[in-house]
Amino acid sequence: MSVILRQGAALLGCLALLYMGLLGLSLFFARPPSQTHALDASLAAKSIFMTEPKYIYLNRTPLRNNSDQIVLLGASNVDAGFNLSELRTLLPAAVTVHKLAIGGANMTELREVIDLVQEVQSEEVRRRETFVLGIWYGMFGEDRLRWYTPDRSPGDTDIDIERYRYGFERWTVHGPVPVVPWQYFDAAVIAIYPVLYLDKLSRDGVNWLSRKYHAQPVDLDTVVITQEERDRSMNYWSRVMGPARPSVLDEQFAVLERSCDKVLAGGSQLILVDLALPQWHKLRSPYQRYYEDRRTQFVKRWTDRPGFVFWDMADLDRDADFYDEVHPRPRVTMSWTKRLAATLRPSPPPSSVTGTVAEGMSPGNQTQ
Amino acid sequence: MELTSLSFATFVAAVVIAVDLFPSHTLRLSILTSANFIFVATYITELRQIVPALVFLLLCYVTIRLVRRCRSGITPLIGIGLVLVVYVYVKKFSFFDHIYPLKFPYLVVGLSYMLFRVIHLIVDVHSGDITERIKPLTFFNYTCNFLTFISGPIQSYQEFARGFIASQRQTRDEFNSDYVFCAFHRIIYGYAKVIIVSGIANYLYLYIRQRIFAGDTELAGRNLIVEYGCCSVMYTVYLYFNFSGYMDIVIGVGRLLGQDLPENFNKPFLARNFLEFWTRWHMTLSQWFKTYLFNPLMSMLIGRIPQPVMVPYLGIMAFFITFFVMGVWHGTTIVFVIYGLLMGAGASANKLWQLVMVDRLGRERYRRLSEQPLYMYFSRGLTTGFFSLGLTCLWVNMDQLHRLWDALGPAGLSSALLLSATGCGIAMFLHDFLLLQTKKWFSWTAILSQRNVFGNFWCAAEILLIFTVSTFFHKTPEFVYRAF
Repeated sequence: MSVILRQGAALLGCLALLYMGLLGLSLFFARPPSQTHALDASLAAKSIFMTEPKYIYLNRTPLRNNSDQIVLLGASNVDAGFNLSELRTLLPAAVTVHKLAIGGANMTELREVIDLVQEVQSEEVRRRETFVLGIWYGMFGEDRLRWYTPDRSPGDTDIDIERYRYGFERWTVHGPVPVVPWQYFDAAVIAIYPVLYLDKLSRDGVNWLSRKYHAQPVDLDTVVITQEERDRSMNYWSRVMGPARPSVLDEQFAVLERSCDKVLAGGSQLILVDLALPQWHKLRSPYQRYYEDRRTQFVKRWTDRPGFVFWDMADLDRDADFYDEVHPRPRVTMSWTKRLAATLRPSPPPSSVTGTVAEGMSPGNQTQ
Repeated sequence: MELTSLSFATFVAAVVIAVDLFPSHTLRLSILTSANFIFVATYITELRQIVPALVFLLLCYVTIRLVRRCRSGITPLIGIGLVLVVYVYVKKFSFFDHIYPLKFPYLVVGLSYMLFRVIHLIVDVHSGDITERIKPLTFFNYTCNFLTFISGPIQSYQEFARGFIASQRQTRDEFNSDYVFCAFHRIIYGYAKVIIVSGIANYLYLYIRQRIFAGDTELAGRNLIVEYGCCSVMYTVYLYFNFSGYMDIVIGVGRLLGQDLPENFNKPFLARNFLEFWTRWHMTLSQWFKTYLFNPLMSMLIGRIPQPVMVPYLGIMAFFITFFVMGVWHGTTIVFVIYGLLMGAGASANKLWQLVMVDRLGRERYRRLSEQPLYMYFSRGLTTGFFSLGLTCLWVNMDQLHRLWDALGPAGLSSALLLSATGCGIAMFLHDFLLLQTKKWFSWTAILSQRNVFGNFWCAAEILLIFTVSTFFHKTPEFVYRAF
């Protein structure tokens, strides 16, 4: 054996030993999650996965369970608005509720989450599933403004980044292609535990420092949004959405259309929720008008589709119920959750679904 | 093929193992030649994309053959002129946008470094420094060696011929175990620099850059000066660790393949002035410009103006021209002309300062002043600060440069320079001080860079750390200098 091969072998041996040691340690300190639990992406920061996209991508095995399932999707206001533990108590015990909302998601990313969910499920599991899609105009920002930032490869969403991060999938012009077959996926996730654990340690360290040197979190039930904060938030959404023009939402409404199609084609039910915004925000935003027009047209076309339900939350738009321009105060989430539970109860996920409109979902409830 | 990709690592491992396993000299040469072809081919998706580069190479080869045959003084000049015209055409300089008929995308990566090697060949063949006949395949391997194809180091043909051809005659068993361990260690260290240090610096640079150009509120005044200063220094750190890490990788791989590539960096931030800085930063490029532009230019100027009293001032002019050309070479747009002007101004101002100080203080007093810690650290800080601000041209476009200039103005820019210089000077002092104070505590770490079980475990730990840190970023850090 040559000197180069001997050295290569010695290095590989040391690498294997060191890796096995680290794997053992990381599994000792962070046990893998149970494969039957309900998923809640808002708990990502407390898990080894740390971020919502990573939590969803690497932790999908529970979605394969053959039970009646409800999957809540959307952006951060779905997370803030619906209290998962309360929702579970309001629904039959046999129903599993997963919350897979991702902060800052647009429709493209939401469609990817639907893909991720469906690709691990059998047809039978899909037929017992209801997707709840929470939408508002901020989720319709075009991809070129949302996902073409310097810190990422052009067009990669946060979900795409997770697909490629550990080499589980590879990039092609036709989209991501799996490198790790699904049957080995869980084993591959375990194999990267040392990396995940080190990631968690470093993020926890940064968060600890941040908490130590930054102001303490405020009470979201009492904090009042100032005029300056309102102006800043409007500037932010102008940048995220681009110039206000009638076609500004076209791209992402087309994605919504395809997503809804995919959900229904898979045999699942779909509840589309138009999430509430504070009145001041709706009045000030130039996009809200375009959004309402497009949404009304969309719902008109879809109302008669079997398995599709629309719920408009427009009446829950009191300014005092929001702590910023989008997110409801914690005290309000109970009423949001109860309304959602009431919406879900008459149309339970399963097999029994034949109707098109659930209770409280009459066209009269829609914003015109 | 991305330097930080798994495919590059696999490709390199395959080439090293193949060269290592085959005892035949001819087979080894064939493997290396094939590796060069494969490496270049990974940059194209259609055959026609390589045609302009091939035409350029063919023209260069014919020129070299002609220069070898025809000994008249005008032949190399015409040859270099012709090569430069074709280079400018193929490289798509934005100044000549309107005259390009080649509208399809084609390979331009590596062209700049091909040009350096070709001009070196033309001049040295003409001067008789290279006497042997250069075969076409050897010419291809020299200009397209996969280790130096993208960004150097710029190796002389004589060194290349010694290393690339002669070393393939050695048997691999002649390799010393320590030498091989050091090569492995150098490669891993290079990856650690590219992925860990430059990756983190890049993340911080991008974060601040975004605040400068696309923040919620427009930055202005003191905040802009501070953030701009930090951003430019962070970009310099990113560039240095990225580029020098890349050099560590190719030099390490070169050693495993029996090629001794020249060093390209020598602790540039220890430089006490701008001219010294360029003898430590991208050394092979500086050396090339010194040999093929500065020296002939000085000879020509002294020939025209032979008074000895004028020689230092001619030097200032030659420095300006040399650094200006070196700056312009980095890109194809107008912003690189500004970069060239800044580099030229920095080099000539540095030379002028030295002349004035020697004139005022005398050589001995000036030397003593240069040894004063305060003066020394401020000089080091100023050198890095000025270079960092000059590098702005590498990370902005003309529109962004305009916006920066409008927002900062001359006073703001001067403040940013002063701030960067002071900050860098203080950081360098603290670094040296801490290193000196803690040296005895870390003496045991020497064992980690030796070929033993600790050294191997340390290398393994570095590999795991590199992999882990690379997963922290949204995209794997790339090799930045290939764009220039």
